[in-house]
Amino acid sequence: MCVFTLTQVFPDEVDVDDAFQRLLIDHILPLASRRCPDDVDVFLEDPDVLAIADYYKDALTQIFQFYATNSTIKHRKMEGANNKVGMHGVLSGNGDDGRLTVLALGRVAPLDLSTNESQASEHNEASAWVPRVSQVCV
Amino acid sequence: MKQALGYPEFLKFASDFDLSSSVILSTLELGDIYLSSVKAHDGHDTVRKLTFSEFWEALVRCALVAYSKISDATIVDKIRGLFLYMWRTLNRNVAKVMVGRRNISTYAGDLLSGAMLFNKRFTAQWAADGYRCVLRAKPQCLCPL
Repeated sequence: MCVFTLTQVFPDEVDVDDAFQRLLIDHILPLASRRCPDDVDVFLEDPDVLAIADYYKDALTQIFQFYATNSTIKHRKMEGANNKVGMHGVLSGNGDDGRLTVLALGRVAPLDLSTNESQASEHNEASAWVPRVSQVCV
Repeated sequence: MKQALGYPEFLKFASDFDLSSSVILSTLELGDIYLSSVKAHDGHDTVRKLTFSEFWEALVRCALVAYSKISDATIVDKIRGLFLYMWRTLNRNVAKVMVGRRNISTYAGDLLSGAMLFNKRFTAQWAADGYRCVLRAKPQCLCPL
């Protein structure tokens, strides 16, 4: 039997915690639907639980939005980092309409990615992936 | 875009509200709660993030896992107990979160206003409830008849 430590499996990760998190996100969570967790529907459908959910809904929604937004920003940063590696992916992989939504100072700002590949090839690699800003939400 | 909560952010939420301290829930239990709450959507096998309704389910599961071993209170009181715990840590931790992450985005306002609203809702409900210990089982009648 061959045994690997997490850091051996994921040598790019800084420590065991990061390696464990990557293991969970990349290899365990995608299979989460196979699990058979305890059924809590009976509790969730309880009228008293529904009442308390309704009572706290607006507060919890705002708290949820804060963390969900952090999640979205992080995800887009990761996508951005990945796109930097492959320039072709940036110019052709960000939606059919040539628009990419990025977050700038916390506001959603749609950027015009109408630059086509022939135009892009005229630029050097450092500048070609930078989209032209056509609209910024203020 | 529909917002959803990834596992790292769920852990961050748990950490900010002190749910991940070993006193109430272990990281292992939180991972299990997360996995149990995420659902497959639209026939896809890959499920990674919590929607708001799943987030609520995760909170209910947190209450069940955290208090089932120590209290036979009703599910509603367990949820209230969880909220009491979150409320206690909320005041000192939210300010720390805002400063610690140097979050200049307008979205940071969601946490602040959400925390204030949660504070307001909880204190109003707890006051109406007579500030009782929600996790203590109701006293049983000792009368032989």
